[in-house]
Amino acid sequence: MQRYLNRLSIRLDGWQLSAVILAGLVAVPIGIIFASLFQPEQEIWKHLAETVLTSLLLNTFLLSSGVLICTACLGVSLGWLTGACSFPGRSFFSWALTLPLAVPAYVMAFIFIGVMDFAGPVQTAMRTLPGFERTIIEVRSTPFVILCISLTLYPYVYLLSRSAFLSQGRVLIEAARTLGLAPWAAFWQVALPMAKPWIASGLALVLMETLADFGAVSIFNYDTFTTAIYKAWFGFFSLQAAAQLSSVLVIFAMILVLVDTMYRSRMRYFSSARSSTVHSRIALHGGKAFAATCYCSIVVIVAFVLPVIQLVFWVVKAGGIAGLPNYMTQTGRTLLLGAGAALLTCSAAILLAYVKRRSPGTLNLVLCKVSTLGYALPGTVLAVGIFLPISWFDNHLQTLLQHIFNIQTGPLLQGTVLVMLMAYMVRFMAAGFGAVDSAMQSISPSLDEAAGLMGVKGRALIFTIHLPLLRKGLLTALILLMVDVVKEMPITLMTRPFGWDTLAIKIYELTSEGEWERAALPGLYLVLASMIPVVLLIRQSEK
Amino acid sequence: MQNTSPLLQVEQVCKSFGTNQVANEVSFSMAKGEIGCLLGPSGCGKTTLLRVIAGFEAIDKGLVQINGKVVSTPILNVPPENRSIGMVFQDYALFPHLTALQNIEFGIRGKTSRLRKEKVKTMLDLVGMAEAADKYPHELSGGQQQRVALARALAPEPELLLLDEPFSNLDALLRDRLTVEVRDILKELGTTALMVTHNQHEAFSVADKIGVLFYGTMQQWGNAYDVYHRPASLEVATFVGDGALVTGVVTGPGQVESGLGLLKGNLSLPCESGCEVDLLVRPEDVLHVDHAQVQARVLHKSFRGPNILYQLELPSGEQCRALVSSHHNHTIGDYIGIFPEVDNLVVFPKNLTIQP
Repeated sequence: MQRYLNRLSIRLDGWQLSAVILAGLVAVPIGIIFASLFQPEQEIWKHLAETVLTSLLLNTFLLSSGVLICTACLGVSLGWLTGACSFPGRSFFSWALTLPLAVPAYVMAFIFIGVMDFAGPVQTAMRTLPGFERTIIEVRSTPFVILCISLTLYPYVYLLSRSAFLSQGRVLIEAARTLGLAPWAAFWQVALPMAKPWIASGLALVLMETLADFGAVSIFNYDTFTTAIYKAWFGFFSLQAAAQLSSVLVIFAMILVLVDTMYRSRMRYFSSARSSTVHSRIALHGGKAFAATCYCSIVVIVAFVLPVIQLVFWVVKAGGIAGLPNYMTQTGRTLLLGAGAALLTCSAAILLAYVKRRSPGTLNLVLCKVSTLGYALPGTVLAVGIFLPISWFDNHLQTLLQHIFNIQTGPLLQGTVLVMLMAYMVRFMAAGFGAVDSAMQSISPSLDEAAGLMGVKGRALIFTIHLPLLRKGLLTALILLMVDVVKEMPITLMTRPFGWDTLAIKIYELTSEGEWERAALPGLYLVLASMIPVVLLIRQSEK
Repeated sequence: MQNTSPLLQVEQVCKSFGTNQVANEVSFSMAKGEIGCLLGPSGCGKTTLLRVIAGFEAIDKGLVQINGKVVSTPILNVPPENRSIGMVFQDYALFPHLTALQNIEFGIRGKTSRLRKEKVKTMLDLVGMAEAADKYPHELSGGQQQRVALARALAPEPELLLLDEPFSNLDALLRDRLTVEVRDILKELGTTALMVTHNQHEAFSVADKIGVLFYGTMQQWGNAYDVYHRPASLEVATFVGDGALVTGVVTGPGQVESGLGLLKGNLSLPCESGCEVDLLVRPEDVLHVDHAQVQARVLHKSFRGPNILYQLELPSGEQCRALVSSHHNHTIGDYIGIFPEVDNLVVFPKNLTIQP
């Protein structure tokens, strides 16, 4: 037995056990949702098929393909302009174009509706124009949802394709030209195909976010699987129907994980062999340069500047910060949840990264992969997946306690902050683990061996060697995680203790009543908080 | 061959980046089928010159013609794709998303599919890569990538092939084998080729004509023998081979008195008696004879198998090197007798220091 374990390079101890339990925590919700796929409840599916299924599938398909096309066009074109060309303002735009990442899709959504709705300023102004008196634009429609979500998600494709074009260097383009290709042909036949792994990986992320989006589509009243899952649970109180709907999304998500993994593994072969290659940019002149500057400006203005101005405008109009409820309780809770979840997730990530570092066998690599699968799961699905086992556990514990001690306890875990924190951890483990693991890989393994020779192992090793060296990387990871949790909407909405409002929940409540102006302040808070990781990202890429 | 116009003609080309002049009135020409080589230390402007010929850099002054067609002047720069050139890059620049076969096929897209297939097969056979046709660049070794890169550049049958330090990423053993192979392939196809390198052994084994560049100036353009035995400048003399410079005085026609004794031979420069000169002494010109007149002290030695290269201090205090059969194994500090045997006395007027 021990020999077999040795071959798998596994040491059976507390560390290994904790890693297995951690991976189990993530695997259970996914497993449960997956299992419900294989136990189709005929009645529920029949009902779903008769009522909502067709429109859900159609909506999801339209939304996904629309967002994919828009983000691909925006992201790749902008990535190529800032990554491979030179024009006035290029270095400014190369970071300014990432700013829309700081606007959560649901904040963008209520700004869109507030501004573009029938009673909003745009359409009111339009109706004063001759010939447009009776024109009505339906803003709660597919094209506008697509546009709104695309404007917040295109930076994923932009960032990845930009780094692809940057890493290519000029040599391959020159090689193509000595083989008879004009510059434009070289772009289509060499630069673009070589950037494919990056673009595909960016699009996979976009698709995951689109399928997972709950806030924006509910503000647009646009029914997708996420809103249907929420309604099935909280509207019709059918956890089973919610689980069935979730299983469809899980399949999509797992396919996307595979696609992403596949393309990511190809990236390293596709980048330039010589990293020191001088990068010569295609210089744009005259009209072309002007058009490029205009195009980039328009995107930054529409996707970031105008939304922020609109939020500030609403805040001022509603009486300024002094005139509005200050949302102290909500902000406090939001920060508390964010910090708690970030700490928990980071600790778990350190544990996983350490176990993987100590014995990087197949089993531990699989454990790490499983533990980080949660990033692909939409929050609504995860909430269902977590709630099912928790309520099962609660019920059995309750029965047991009544049986033995004859006491009435009520649910012990359901609706507690603990469950929320766990759900956050599952959802955001990938972000935390990625940051911690890459930081840990930069610490030479011989340091561990040197410490080991002096008798420092396990927890002592982590505290005396790893943590001091990881300090900077950990801080980044904590901040990133905190912002992710602060922005998160569906998990918070579906697993929070009764009445526990956060900023995101406040926005959900206010916007579902059409109170755009009052939602502006929490919205602005969220945008400001989300700026932190974006600024970090920009500073990192400038190094 | 006398009346045919040269395939590549470079006339008084000047090129500078800001204040840095990287090509200064460079002129040379190559006949069809010749293999040329630009040799020089790094930073001498040889790669820039190659990129000028490829069309990646515009020139400030001068003219470049390929096969009688003007391709570069200060006001004209025919784009690389219209110059009928092929190029092998230093890091090969194989397209990572295409297989070896697809890489070779890349430059002949315009042809019919039957012609394309035939051509690709011929090229694969020529470079001995038929087995690896369907492999991606990252699955190939350095030598294999090099062969594919050569095949890819040759497939469109360019009038001129340019090679930028093509062997610098290979280990020494493979480099020696591939230089010979590449020369054979180019000669078999009759391709005109121009290579850039800082390694003189590569230049000697591949090129018909060698151009030595220093600080953007073409010092000499000629065959390997001339470059080695009749260096046109002090820079060429010291850069090529392991030669040392020894001070001497011309004492009569074909006679130089130096730290090595009195040397007799053909002077490379007409010098009057009494003229002070720097004399080039190659290690193979210094023979080891035990009881010779001149006794030199061994400063360093490096064992090379068949022979030993000794670094020697002459009685005059100057240094030179001697290549001696490795049976004569002396220790450092020993005095050994040496005897110079020089037929062509390569001399340069004294006080001509090498430009910084």
